[in-house]
Order: sequence, then structure tokens, then C-alpha cells
Amino acid sequence: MQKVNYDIVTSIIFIIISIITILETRGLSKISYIFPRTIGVIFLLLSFMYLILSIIKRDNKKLFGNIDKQKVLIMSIGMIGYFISISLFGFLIASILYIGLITWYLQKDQKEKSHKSKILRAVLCSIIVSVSFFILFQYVFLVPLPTGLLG
Amino acid sequence: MFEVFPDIISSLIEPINILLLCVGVLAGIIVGALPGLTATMALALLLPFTFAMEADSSLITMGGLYIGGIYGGCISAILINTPGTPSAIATTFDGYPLAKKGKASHALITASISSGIGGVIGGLTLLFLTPVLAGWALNFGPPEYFWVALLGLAMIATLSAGSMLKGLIGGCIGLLLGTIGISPVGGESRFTFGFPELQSGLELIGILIAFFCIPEVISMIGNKAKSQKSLNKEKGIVKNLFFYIIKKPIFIIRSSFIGIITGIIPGAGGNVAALLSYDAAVRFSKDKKSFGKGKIEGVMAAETSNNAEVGGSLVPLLSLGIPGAPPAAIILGALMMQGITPGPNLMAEQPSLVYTFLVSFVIANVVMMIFGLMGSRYIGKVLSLPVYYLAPSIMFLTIIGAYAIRNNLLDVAMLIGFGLLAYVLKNAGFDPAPIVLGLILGPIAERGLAQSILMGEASGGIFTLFFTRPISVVLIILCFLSILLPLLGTIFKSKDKTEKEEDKIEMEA
Repeated sequence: MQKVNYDIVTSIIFIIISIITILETRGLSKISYIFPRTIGVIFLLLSFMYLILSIIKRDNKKLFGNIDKQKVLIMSIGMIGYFISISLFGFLIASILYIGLITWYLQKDQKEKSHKSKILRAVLCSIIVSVSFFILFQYVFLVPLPTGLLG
Repeated sequence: MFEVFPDIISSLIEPINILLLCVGVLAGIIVGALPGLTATMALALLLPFTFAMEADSSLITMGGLYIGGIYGGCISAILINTPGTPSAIATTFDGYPLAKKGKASHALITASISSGIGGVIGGLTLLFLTPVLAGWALNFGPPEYFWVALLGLAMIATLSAGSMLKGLIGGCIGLLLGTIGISPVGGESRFTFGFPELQSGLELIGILIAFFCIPEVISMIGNKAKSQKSLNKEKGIVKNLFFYIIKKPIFIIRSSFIGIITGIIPGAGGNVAALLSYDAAVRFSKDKKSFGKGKIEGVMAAETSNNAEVGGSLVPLLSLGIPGAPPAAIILGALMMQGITPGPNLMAEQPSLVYTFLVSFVIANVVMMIFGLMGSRYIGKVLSLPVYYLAPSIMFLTIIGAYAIRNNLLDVAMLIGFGLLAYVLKNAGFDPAPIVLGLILGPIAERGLAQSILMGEASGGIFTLFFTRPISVVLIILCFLSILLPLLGTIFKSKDKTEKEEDKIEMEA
């Protein structure tokens, strides 16, 4: 089975977005719709051009070709998890957990280091960074950082 | 400038401002030296910290950080053959070969002196050109602002990294993101999808951090550390190199001029400036073959130009209110956080603030040169700072920064969402710069368009208003040229390539 080129997929998504944009401008007054609708039409035309060029010039480049996908995925999921844990446990605890876990995970290639030292580095890094910036923002910049639903 | 001279002096001699200037330059050098962390990213990360500062302190720090960040890129370019920032790409051509020959100190000192001289020339141009351009821009009406915004966007889309089509699509995405919220003239709510928080539009600072920081942090976890060349301590080379450089005034002026002009053109950036200057240095040299093998002039050309570009890139922001480069977009964000709208009126309304920033900008270049001469060998040590500490810590800073702007968790969710989107788009070949600048320029262009339509309807001639005013005509021609010239260049290049390939096939046959 032939693989679908990511350029084709991207251009189709853009075409859909541009059509939604144009449709969303219905019901607005002329002065409010003229700019977004014009840009929407230009976006649609450029996306069509992108689709045609992607079909003509098919290349086999992969979207995340030379990237460590596992690390990128963990980092991305980690960010979403960080956001959820801020809402639940508050900023300080969530930050200590996030920095600690990601620092520990990213050391997985460091074969020469013992498991104990990796954990120690992760714990120290997470506590120092989180606590110092928490104090700076909470007590110096007077930003009320979230305490979380369970906090 | 002379009327506000006492204000400038009193602001610049304040101990906190002196400290912030030095800290900004030093932090910029350190961040710039780390491959993967650009000057733009450093500025975006610093942005939330500046909201507690006075306007002058905030701008002084941002200016210092920008200058330091662009210079810092040369340290990793010389020591590990990896440009710390894209601006230092041309520094690797001769900087790394010099380091391989055991002359890393020569390369670093040359880079410091050249960057300092180029930066001061760029800063002086910024100081004297901004008031002239701002005065001229006071004649601009809504149609001119519409065309200026379109020109900026066209240039950014065509000159930024990647394909032109993708640049233009990126610009459209940015313009559409800029239309979210209340229409600037019509007053109607658009694309809010039921979220009242979106009525005021997307939070610019959060979007800046999302597009410029998150893709880079995610990308950096895949980078591998390279071995670093050792530094030999030699006596007297600073003096010798300083006199060697200043004895080449034409070389310095040419490189600085290329940098400044490239900086003023929206979208071109420090990497283009350094490459053009390097190319000019090779063309005008009698000893062309020695370039690329460790020639001092190669480092001089690249570093003078990329630091002169910094000053040039701020000219359109301070005179027209149009950011010409991603770092200028972040400085615009810093000004807006302080409740200041950049543009031609800024010079008339807040002359002491603008001149304080401009004078501090020149001083920051001298500070950068001193720090570079004294400490680049020590700053080079940070290159070994592991990614497993950096990546989560930077991500943490982006989150705390995005939250601190409005104390709103929705901004954090937007940061993560747009950051991941920016990462995917970047991998698909869509540079973040046109998207973000489209977001900033969109409301300027829309306001210009809507006001012009209303003016045209009142006077009975929309066409006359848009297409016959002299400044508008010049801007329209520049818009077309900025799109057509790169397009023609691509067509000729591909034609030339096809002809060469055909010749090769014929030869082989």
C-alpha cells in the first residue's frame, strides 16, 4: 500500500480550515468580515496550490524522519500531564513532579551512570528549579500561583 | 534627543539599570552559546520577568539580552562547529577551522571585537535613523499602514526559512489567528467559538513563547553533544587582533552596512546578513582560497555583520511599529505589556524612553565586547550543560511565564496546544516566524483596510485612496517585487539546475 504524503494531508487540513473560516464570516457586517474572508480565500487558494504541488512533486520524506519519536512523545505527553497536575495538585508539586520525571527519563541514554545517581540528580534539579522560581514569582513578583483542586 | 538628555543619563546611571544591562548581556551570551537555544527564545523566556520592571529597565534588559544572544552564538560555532544561534552559521566556516588549528582563542577574540564594533555601528544607525523614519512615517494614513503591514508580511513569508509557498501559507495562518476576537473597527465578535476569554483575542505573549520556545525545546532533546576544542591561553593577542581589525575600516564598514540593510528588511535575519557579508568578504579578497580554512577575516565578516543587523532589525519596530524580525516581535510584546504601543507616535510621546533604550543599546554592545573578551573561554564551559537538565527547566519556565501574564490557566493550555502545533508545523516545513508576525501584523493591516474603506466610502473613491497615494504606490511596487523576485530567482535556479543535469547526462552518454 502506498503511504500518504504528509504534505497532502496537511494541505487537505488547511483547505478544510479555510472553508470553515470563510463560512464562519457569514452574518458579520462588511467591515468585520472583509479582512478575514479575504485572507480565508487567499489561504484556500494557497492550500489548493500546496495540494497540487504535493501531488505532482511527491517525496518520501517522513514528517518526523530523524527524530527520537519516543522522547518527543514522552515530552509532549509530559507537558499535557503537567498542565493537568497543576490543576489538581497546584503549581509547586506539579512542577517538582514534572521536572523530576522528565530529567530522570532523559538520562536513560547515560549508561555509565548508576540508577541511584540518575534519581538523585533528577530530585535535586526538580526541587532547586521549582522552589527557587516558585519563591521568585509568588513572593517577589507577587503572582498568585495556582494551588490546585486538591491543594 | 538633547532635550531629554538629563532623563537618559539619570535612567542609565541607576544602579538597577546598570545591573540589568550587564545581567541581560551575560544571560544572552550564555543562552546564545547553547546550541538549540536562540536569542529569540531567550527573549521570549525573559518576557514574563519584565512585567514587574519599569518600562526603561525592561527595554534595557531586553536589548542587552538580544545583543548578547546574537554574539553568544559564535562561541559554540567556533568551539563545536554548531552555531548557537542561526546568525552564527557563517562563523563556523572559518571559526571552527581556526579552533582545529589550535587558534580558538584567536577566533573568539576576533568574534568579540568584530561583534562589538559591528554592534556599535548598528546601534548608532538605530539611534540616528529611527527619528528620521518615525518623522516620515507620521505622514502615513490607514492605506499606507495597510500596505506597510502587507509588505512586512510578504517579505517575511518569502525570505524566511523553507519554501515560499509555505511561508505565505504560514503568514495567512498568522493573519487568521490575528482576527480572533472583537473586530478592531466593526466591533463584532469573531471565531471565539463560545469562549468569552477569546473576545480580547489570543494572548500575544503566550503565543510568542509557544511558537518560539516549545518547538526548540522539543527539538533539542534529539541533539547530541559534540566534542569541544580546547582553548590555549596566549598573551597579547587581544591588542594585536584589535589593531589588526581596526586597520581594515572599509572591511568593517562594508560588513556593517550589509548587516544594517539586511536588518531593516523584514524577515531577512542575522543568518542572511552574515552569509551575505561572508560572501562579499570572499569576493573582494585577493586570497579567496584561504577562506574556509581558518581565516580571521571570515570570522570578522560574519560577526561584524550579524551584530550590526541587530540594530537594523529594530528600526522598523521603533519607527513604524512593525516588527521586522522575531526578536523585534518579542520586544514589541514587552512594550505592549507596559501599555506602550510602538509606532511613529512613540518617538513624540515617549522620547526619553526611546532614547534611553537606543543609547543603552549602544552601551550594551560595548559591554558585550568586554564580556566576550574576558569571559568567552569560561562561557564555553556551559556548552557541556546536559540537555536533561535544560529541557525540563526551560519547559517549566515557559509554563510559569505564560501563567504569570494574566494568572489564567487557559493561557497555559493555549501555550501547550499552540506549542505542539508549532512543533508539528515546523517539522512539516512551516517556519514559525511568518505565523507569529502575521498574528502581529494582522490587526494593523485590518485596521488600515477597514478605516480606508470607511474613508473611501465617505469620499466616494476607495480605489483612489488605496492605489494612487504616492507612498502607497511605492509600497505596492515593493510588495510585488518582494514576492516576484524570489519567485523568479527560484524559477531561474531550477532552470539552470535542469540544464546542468541535461548537460551532465549528455556528457555521460
